[in-house]
Amino acid sequence: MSGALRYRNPALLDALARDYVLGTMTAPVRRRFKRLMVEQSGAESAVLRWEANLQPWTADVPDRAPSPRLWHRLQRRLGPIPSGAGEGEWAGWWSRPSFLRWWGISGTVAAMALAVALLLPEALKDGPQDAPRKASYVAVLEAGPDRPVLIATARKDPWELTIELLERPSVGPSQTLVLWTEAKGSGDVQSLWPLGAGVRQQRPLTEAEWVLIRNAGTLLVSIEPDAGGGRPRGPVVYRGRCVQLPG
Amino acid sequence: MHEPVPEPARDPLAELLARCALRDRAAFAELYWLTAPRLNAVALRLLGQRTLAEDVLQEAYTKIWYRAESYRQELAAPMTWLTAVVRHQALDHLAEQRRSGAVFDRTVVVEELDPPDRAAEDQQQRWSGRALRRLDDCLAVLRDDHRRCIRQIYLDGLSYREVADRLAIPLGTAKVWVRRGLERLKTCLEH
Repeated sequence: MSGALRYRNPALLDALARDYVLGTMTAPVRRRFKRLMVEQSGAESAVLRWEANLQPWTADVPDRAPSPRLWHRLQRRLGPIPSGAGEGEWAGWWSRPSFLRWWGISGTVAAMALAVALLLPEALKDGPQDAPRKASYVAVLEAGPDRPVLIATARKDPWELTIELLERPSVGPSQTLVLWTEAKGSGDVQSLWPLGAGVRQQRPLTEAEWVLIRNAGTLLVSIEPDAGGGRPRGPVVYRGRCVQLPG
Repeated sequence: MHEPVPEPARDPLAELLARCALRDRAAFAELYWLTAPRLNAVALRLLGQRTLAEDVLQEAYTKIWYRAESYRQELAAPMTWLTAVVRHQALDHLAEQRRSGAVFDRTVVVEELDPPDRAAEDQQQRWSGRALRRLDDCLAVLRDDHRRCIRQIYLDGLSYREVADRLAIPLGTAKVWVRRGLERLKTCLEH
């Protein structure tokens, strides 16, 4: 059988596709097989059949959002994305129609966040003497679609941030959860605080921290090896859009 | 009078890929935000290093942008195609690394990255549930050690040599286990 004809053997193509998908070919063989995929009809479909067979296994691996840096690198490489498409970046992606249809979500998480924020002033009263103060900003951070895990509300007069943890990821003894702001437009990420252990945490904000929240499009939580650091070094586990409330 | 049969929901990723093929940058942005956590997780699991995974992801998304017109829905679901682009970018890197003799102990990093947790269980429930159950049913007919061998090669990007060392088996045995296991798996999945 000549060289070219040999690769028309479906069983042989299937075996090669299997090894290619597994990743067990050496680098030179991988390069030659990639050329074969272009030249030989059937090779690409054999590869995709194996990919489809094994891909459900990747569901064992939890999602991990890449750093904001990757999106900026892609924009530099591919050219600017039209305004409106990138604004907010992670923010609001769950409310995009294509995403909602895909996950079958009937409402928007942003609407839920607003409803929660309007109710929160009552829920978070410290005592019968405290009149509830309306929130100025609210963020509902999610660990995944339709999985809210943290609600952050910011109030002024005086400036203060309240965190309600609905769920907490397990972190090692030397690790810390850190809350970050991601600025609208520039995407600059600045740390706010390391989160404490409590389900509900409330802290005063400095003026600089208030400005960070005012300019934020998104709040993030990452797992860090320590509380310091200018940018997230660990995985970002929660994200949510920061919304200014009326009034 | 018959009820009208509703149209099956179109996969939004297929629509976004079709728009990317027309150089719709807004569609590319939407595709990125929908898929990046999943694809980053796949790359990270194979490569074990976050910055390296993002380097690979950058190359993969660049390919996705420039080759979106080559995606054919009759050959694969959109997420299958996207995952394949990322996996093969990562596998190319691993193969070159091995060729150059670079050594990188991914054992510790892989174990740290994949503690069993609720997030993964939730994902299994909502992502491709039927396909996963089919795979699980077919995997159940394999021996535990064969299944473990295949999984570590596919998910973790180990070579035959690396998985043989990890499982303390001869290299030839690892190859036989994987090939026979996959042949049985393929027969099961296709029937």
